[in-house]
This record gives sequence, C-alpha cells and structure tokens, in this order.
Amino acid sequence: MKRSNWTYCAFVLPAFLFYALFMLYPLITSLGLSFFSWNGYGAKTFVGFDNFVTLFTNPAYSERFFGALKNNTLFFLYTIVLQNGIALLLAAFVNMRRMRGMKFFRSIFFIPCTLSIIVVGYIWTLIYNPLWGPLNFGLNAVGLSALKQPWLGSEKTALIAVAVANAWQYTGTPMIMLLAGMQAIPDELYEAADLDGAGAWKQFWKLTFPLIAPVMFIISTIVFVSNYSAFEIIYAMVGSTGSPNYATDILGTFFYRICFGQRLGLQPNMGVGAAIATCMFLIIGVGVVLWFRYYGKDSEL
Amino acid sequence: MKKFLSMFLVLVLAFSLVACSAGTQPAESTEATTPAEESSAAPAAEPVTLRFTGWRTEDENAINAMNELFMAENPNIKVVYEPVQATEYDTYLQTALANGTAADIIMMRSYSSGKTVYSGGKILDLSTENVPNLSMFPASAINAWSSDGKSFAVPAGMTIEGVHYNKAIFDACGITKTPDTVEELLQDCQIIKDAGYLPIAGGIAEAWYVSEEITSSILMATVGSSDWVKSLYAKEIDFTDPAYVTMLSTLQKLTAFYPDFYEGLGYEDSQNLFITGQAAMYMSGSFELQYFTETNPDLQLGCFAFPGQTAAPTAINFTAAIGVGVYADSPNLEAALTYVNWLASKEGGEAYANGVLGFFSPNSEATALTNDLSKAWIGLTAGKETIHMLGYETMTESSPDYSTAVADTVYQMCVNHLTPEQAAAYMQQQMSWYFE
Repeated sequence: MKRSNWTYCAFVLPAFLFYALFMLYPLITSLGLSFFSWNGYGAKTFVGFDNFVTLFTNPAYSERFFGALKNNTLFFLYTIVLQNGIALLLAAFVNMRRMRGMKFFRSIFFIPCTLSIIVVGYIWTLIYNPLWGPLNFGLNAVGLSALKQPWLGSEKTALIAVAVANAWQYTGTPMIMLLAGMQAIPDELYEAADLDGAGAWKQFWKLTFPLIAPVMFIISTIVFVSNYSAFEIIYAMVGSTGSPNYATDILGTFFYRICFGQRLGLQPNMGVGAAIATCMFLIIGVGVVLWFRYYGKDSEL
Repeated sequence: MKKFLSMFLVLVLAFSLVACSAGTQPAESTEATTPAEESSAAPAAEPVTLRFTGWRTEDENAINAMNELFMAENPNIKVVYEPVQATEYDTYLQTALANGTAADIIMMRSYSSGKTVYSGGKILDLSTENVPNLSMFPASAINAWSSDGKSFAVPAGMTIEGVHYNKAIFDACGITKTPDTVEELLQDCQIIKDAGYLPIAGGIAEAWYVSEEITSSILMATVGSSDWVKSLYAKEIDFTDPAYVTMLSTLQKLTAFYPDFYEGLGYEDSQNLFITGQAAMYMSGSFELQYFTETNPDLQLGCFAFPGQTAAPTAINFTAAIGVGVYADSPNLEAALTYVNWLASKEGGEAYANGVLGFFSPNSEATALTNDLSKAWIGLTAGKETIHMLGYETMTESSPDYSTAVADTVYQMCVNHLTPEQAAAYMQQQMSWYFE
C-alpha cells in the first residue's frame, strides 16, 4: 500500500500545531518585538532598528551587553572543561568492568541532575558563604586559610563558583551519554587491544576516546546552546543584578533586567529586551551552524 | 540530507531554548500568582474576600493581626495578606497587573517606582470622594504616592534610617553614650573590635541595601539639610561635591570594622549577624523592629541616628515606604475602598504603627505608640530635618538608576581600591545621563 504525502502530513500536523503555538509563535513575536518600543502594557510604537542601535551604541547598554557576552563565553568554557572533563572521567570510572558496585555509583553521580535548580543553587550559596560556609571553614581546618575567599562576592571567583555548581548538577547527563557510548563499543576491540599489548591508558586514548568522539560532539553542542541561553542557576545563586560588579552578568540576566526585572521606577523595556533575545538567538544559531560545519563533518549525526 | 536534517534539528533546539527564555513572561506570571481563591463578584452583604499583596514578608504575622482588627469591625470582609519577596515584588506586580491576576489591595512603593506602576492604568485613582480619610494626611505624604496631582495610594508607613545597636555589647565594652560624631563612632568601633566583638554587621553585595540603608544614612547626616538634596536634583551640584566625597570616605573608614569578606555579604547575612548577637551595630531602618523582636526577643536593642561629621547630626533619612492602593479592575472595589479608608483613619494608622513595629503612619493624628522601641526610633527625628532618601523622587528614569550606580561605586571603592574622590568621579560618570 502506498501512502500519499498527505497521510504523512496528517500525522505530523498535531505535533506541528503544538510546536507552532508554543515555540514558533512566541519566537517570531519576540523577534518582531525587537522593532518596537513597548513597556509591557501600554501601546507599542514601531521604531525600526532603534533598539539595536541603543543596544550597541549607548554605553549604558553596550558595555553591559559585551560584558555579558564575554561572561557567557567564559561560562561556556568553564562548563566544557569542568562538566565534560569530569563526566568523561566518571564515565570511564563507572565503565570499569572489574569493579563492583558500579551501578550504585552510576546512580549517585546522576542524582544531582534530578534536583531542582533552586535547591542546588541555594545549597551552593550556603557552601560558598564567606562567614560560615563549609568551603571556607574546610580551608581553615586544613591550614589553607590563605585561600579563603568571598566566593560569590569577588569578581575573580564569582563566575567560576557558579560554573562549578552548574557542572556539579549537570555532570550526570553527559556521563550517562558517554557511558552509553562506551558500552556500545564491542568487547572484541578491547580483547584485540589486550592481545596487541596496549595498556589501559593507551586503550582509553586510542580506542575508547575516538569511538565516543561523536557523543562528545553532541554534548558540546548541547552545552553551547544551554550555556548561551543560561539564566536559572545564575539567578538562583546571585540574583539578576550580575553582582559582584557585573562579574556574573550573562545575556540571560541582562535580558531579564531590561525586560522585566527592573527595580525601582524604571519602565520595563521590552523592545531592547527583545533585541537582546534576538542577538542571543543569532549567536546560538550561527554558532551551532558553524560548529557543525567545521567539526561535524565526520560525525555520524 | 542527513546532515541538513541534523542541522535543522539542532537549530530547532536552539530556537526553542531562546524562545523559552524570550517568551517566559506569561509562564512566569502564572507561576508567581498562584490562582488564589477567586473572590467572586458577590452581591452586597455577602462576605467577600480581599487579597492584599505586598513585599513585607517579614511582617506577615503583624499585618495579619492588624487585619483582624479591621475584620472585627467589618465582619463581611475577609482580608488575606499574600506577601511576595521584596526583590521580586516589582516584577511580580507588573506581570500580575498586565495579565489581570493582581490582588484587590496592592502595596505601592512611593515616588517614581509607584508612578511607573500607576502609569499602567491598573491602579485606581484615589481622592477624598472615594477615600474620605485622605484628608488626614499632610501634602508631603500625599505627594509621595501621587502622579500629576492624582493619588494612587493611601500613605500607610514611613520608616526612619539609622543605626541599630546591641546594648549588651555596648555595655560589655563600657560604652555609655551613643556617638554624636563620626570620630566618636570610629573610636567606639575600635573599642568594640579590641574587645573581640564585630563592630558593624554589614555587607555590600546587595545594591538596594548599600543605597538605601548604608549610604543614605551617612549622606543625610553629612549634608545636614535638604538644601543639598534640592541643589543636587536641580543639577546645581553633582556627585563630585565635597559632601558626597565625605560620605564615601566615611563609609570607607567604617568598612575597616565590617566583617571579613564583607564584599560578598548581602542584606540577610548582615541582618543575621546582628540578630544573633554577634555584631554591635547594624545600619538599617526602623522597619527591622518587627522582624528583630519576633526573631530574637532577647536582643537588647537600641538605636541612634547616624552621627554628623563634626557635631551631632541635624538631619535624618526617612523613607515613604508603604502606600496601599486599589486594583482598578478588582471585582470587590467597594470592600477594597472600605479597607484603605480604614487604613487611612487614625485608628487604622495606629493599628499599622503598633501592629507592624517600625512603621509610622503619616496621619498627623495617628501618633499614639505603645512600643518603646518604636518610640525611640521616632524620637530620633526630634529636632532634625527629615530628608527622603535619594533615588526615589527622581534619578530612576534611565539606566543605571541611582541605587545601582551607588552600589557599583561603593564596590569599586571598597574592592578595587578607588579613592573616595575617584569613586565620586566614577559615580558622576555613571549618573551623567541625569545631568545632561
């Protein structure tokens, strides 16, 4: 029996309608909003590219925008190193055949992923508390009191402190993905490698790693997309003001402040906010396309 | 084809993530306003339930107790107080008004912040016609909650900014007299520090706390008269003025007596250090009284006005803090107006001031206070000019607003070691939009 294209369309239609209503429609309207001046409830005025001009030329906005972009990039790099690095080590660890209790560890490492971001953020702010937080307390106890820091209060450490909390929470997901990749590698390959006299270290780098590279690639893409649109963990830990001194101000918090998070009297500026969201969208879209162009050629996606 | 498909899929993923972050407004508001029991538009004489929203989470018990007084007189009206975290309140209110889920009675901030909310057209105009007791207030109080001559809230609570101190620690250090000058204050701080206590509980991690509770108190004591504020607003002087530099350098000297890592401490950290009796002094407002006395009744509280530079201060900082307005689309307008009119009366004003310690009704007849600490705080204003804190009446129209700018300035001075003069120049540079 041959089905017509219409049959396929009919099956896709419900999902597409749902997607269009909750994804495409808000996306397109918020892109459109960037050409209007609007305070969130009054009348909208069409202003052309004025919002983008303000965003890029008015120092009150442009300094914050490029600062946030820089912080986003740092946040992405920190996450790649911390989250994926640790996930790789953990996956290799729980994939070891000769160890017992690995199922237990697998669950343990995955548990943080199931916690609410607010909970994780709150716990880590307690850990980082400069007065009585266990981190400074622990440093003191082992005689490293010189290393004590106001972790979330210093420009130097605040962003990386948040990145650590974020990596702690999400390491489980890439670990599971990498583990699945590792377990898909046939045992025969390792047996052959054993026979050829390759040690564990060599087996990992010459055999395991190349075969899980496609998984790494997908993970990095997800981290890229989620980090350039990050907001929740920063908001949960240091609020939306980018404190201290905008060291934790990323595009998401900047967008939130301009759009509707202003305190005391400033009108919400939906137009410039939408312009920021449009820029975020372009950065992520262009970034992903380039990423696939140059690194995704050989991947089996 | 495969690659195109995958690229498309990833783009879709990217789309959706951005769309989510760009489109969260409606989602956020439904989350923020849990659909409380819909107070159905009931015919008269049927009991109605009024929702009252505000940012004073600390005063929930006290406000509920005050509402009991109202409900005893008006058995047909039930008032439910639903507070929202202060730092989230403005965002919450804007979205709730925009999507029609706002409470019937709404706590309003004064001056430009309140005006912004009012300008959305969702807050009822109040006048002596619908709220007769508005006539009980002096013009200065009415002005704080009006826009182009139209009142949008009943003035309910003024607060005073100063220094809380722990009498037990002062006694233990042999300090018998509260300081009148900054020099005396610094000497006292040294004595307290030498005795092994923390002199001042404070931190600069939160902008509003730096702006409203730390710098504002020092500034008003330093300038000593509202003329300075008037000439600043009139752009005759700017932030490089010697008085502003003096304010910054005073704060710089005080931070030597702040806790370690104070740059990472926020409002609640500072508050906790003081409530738990670890610190001798805490700069904040009278509005802390209710929370402090509820949380640690054993704390021996005292207060003094922030000292002057060379002599006892002649001015003190106050805030037109709590106004109460009515949601224009409320289905229970009549009951809501009954409530705010009661709040504006002598009886209601006293119920607020005595129920929620540390807030003072601007109603000139509502002066009977029962609590000694409240009396002590209002006593601080005797013989001094009361000046409203900066950054409320104006200087909020563009970005960065005064509050954000001064917090950034203080951070630059304390952490990145700008001198007070450099910091004042930095402040002026940030606020240059106001002087253009």
